[in-house]
Amino acid sequence: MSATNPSVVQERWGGGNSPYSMSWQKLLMWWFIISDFLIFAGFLAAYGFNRLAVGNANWPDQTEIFHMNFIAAMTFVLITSSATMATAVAAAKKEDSATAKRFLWLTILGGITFLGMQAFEWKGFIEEGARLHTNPWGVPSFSAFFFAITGLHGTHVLIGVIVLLVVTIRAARGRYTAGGIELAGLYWHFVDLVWVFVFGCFYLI
Amino acid sequence: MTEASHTVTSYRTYWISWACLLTLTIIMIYVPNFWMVLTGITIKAAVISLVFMHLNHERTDFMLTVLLGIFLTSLVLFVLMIPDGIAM
Repeated sequence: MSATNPSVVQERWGGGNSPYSMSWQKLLMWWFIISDFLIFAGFLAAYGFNRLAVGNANWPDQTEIFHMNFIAAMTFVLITSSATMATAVAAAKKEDSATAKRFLWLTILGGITFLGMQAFEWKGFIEEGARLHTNPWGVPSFSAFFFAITGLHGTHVLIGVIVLLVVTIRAARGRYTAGGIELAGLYWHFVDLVWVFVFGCFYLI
Repeated sequence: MTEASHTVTSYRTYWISWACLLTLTIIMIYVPNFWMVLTGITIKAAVISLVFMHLNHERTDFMLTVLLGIFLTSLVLFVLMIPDGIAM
């Protein structure tokens, strides 16, 4: 088999100046994404464990607590911002800076809208009496997981918006590289990817 | 710039993916079956990582490193916890 050939192994796994044939910045962004993803996986696994331990009968019915149309709208906003980000990256690679900047601004708008919607959701929750240690619908851990998981995700969205603002302002001043926008894009898609799991595991299952 | 990052996907591909993601989201919300949601999560994660994050343009060994690294570690986390969670 060619995979056992030492030169092939060296070429594919040896690293050198450009491991996996990509820039070190992009590779580090991927390592960050993997490790950060596993933090969220840890949170969701803890949530799953707690839910199994408490039992479904004692767990609040999410459809009675969350406004699913509103959560669907939040998801729509985040998915759309991911598509605008991907378009911005493609435009930057084509050296179409006007389109890249336009879609970067749209992505930022999507991120800010998502954060506003999340703040509104949190406000409603808090007004109904939910706290990190108190849950008006039953087991306290439900609220604790809600605030911890969506809070951690929201923090990532906020950081993403700040990163995108920096990248976009630099692009507006003509100081950008397609590689830089691609890195910001990778982070933004990661935020969307995490939401897929949070949305499915926390709000739907 | 590397070979992989020079590959440019058409705008159309991204917006078709966007439509797929939205359709899946709607199905997941209005058909709230456990297996439907799990399938929806898997397909959506695949579309985002392969199309939006361009993992399908990277080398196969890198793709496997990322996907297997995340998948196997998450699997260990979840599978090890299920029996203990049920037993409590």
